[in-house]
Amino acid sequence: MLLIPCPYCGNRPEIEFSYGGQAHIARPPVPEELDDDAWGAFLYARDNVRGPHRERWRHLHGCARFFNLVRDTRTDRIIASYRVGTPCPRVEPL
Amino acid sequence: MTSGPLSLETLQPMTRHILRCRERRVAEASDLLGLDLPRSAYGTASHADRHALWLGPDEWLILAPEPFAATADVWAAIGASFVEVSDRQVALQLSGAGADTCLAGGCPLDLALPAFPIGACARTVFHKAEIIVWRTGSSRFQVEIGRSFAPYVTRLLSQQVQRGRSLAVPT
Repeated sequence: MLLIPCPYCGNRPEIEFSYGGQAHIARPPVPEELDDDAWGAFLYARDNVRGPHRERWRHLHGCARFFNLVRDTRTDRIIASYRVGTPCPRVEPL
Repeated sequence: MTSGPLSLETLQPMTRHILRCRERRVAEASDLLGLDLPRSAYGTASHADRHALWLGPDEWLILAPEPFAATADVWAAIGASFVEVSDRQVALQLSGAGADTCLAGGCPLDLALPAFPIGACARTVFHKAEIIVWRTGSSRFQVEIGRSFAPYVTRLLSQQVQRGRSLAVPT
């Protein structure tokens, strides 16, 4: 089982968490001004990274907070975890 | 501390509240409760029979034998919510030699004393149920569970207790 570092609780077992998809996707401020393609891209288009991926997680069965994680999708190695609202730490390409 | 034989019991009903409060209001909320709210993970605070268990950066479980005098508008005045959930949960007490091993049969947290000392609490899982574990002694735990999960958790825990007794788990 993975240990996931929650920025509030420290290292906790993976089954306490739920995955929240790719992080840092800003909702368009005025959605009705977007055409269908742009809106579709916002809703569905996601990076398919091979390497460090910035993603949202929720410590569902713990402090219940959303936070962000940088995870290497090839190895599941967790590179960084940081609170929502704080900038992503610099991650060197591996 | 000597610990007796393993046992699992259901605790008496008590008053439970969930406090949700922003960080800048924690001092005022602490004053209203008459205890110093813990501000970090695993933290608990007790004063007389009142206990505050840290669940999240803005969430606490408050346990007390009696209902509180402060009313909803007192809490609203400091922008906090204080909701009674007494009947939502039931409390089990697991105690005796090897209690931590029993709990670890379904709970993935590190329950060793250095990692989870006396007074520590955490919301976590026991098999498929969400629980709140609170270590009240070196081999005594209070386990708060949702009422509808009580039969499930109780059955699994009593199995662990029986197994633990027959194996005489070393402490």
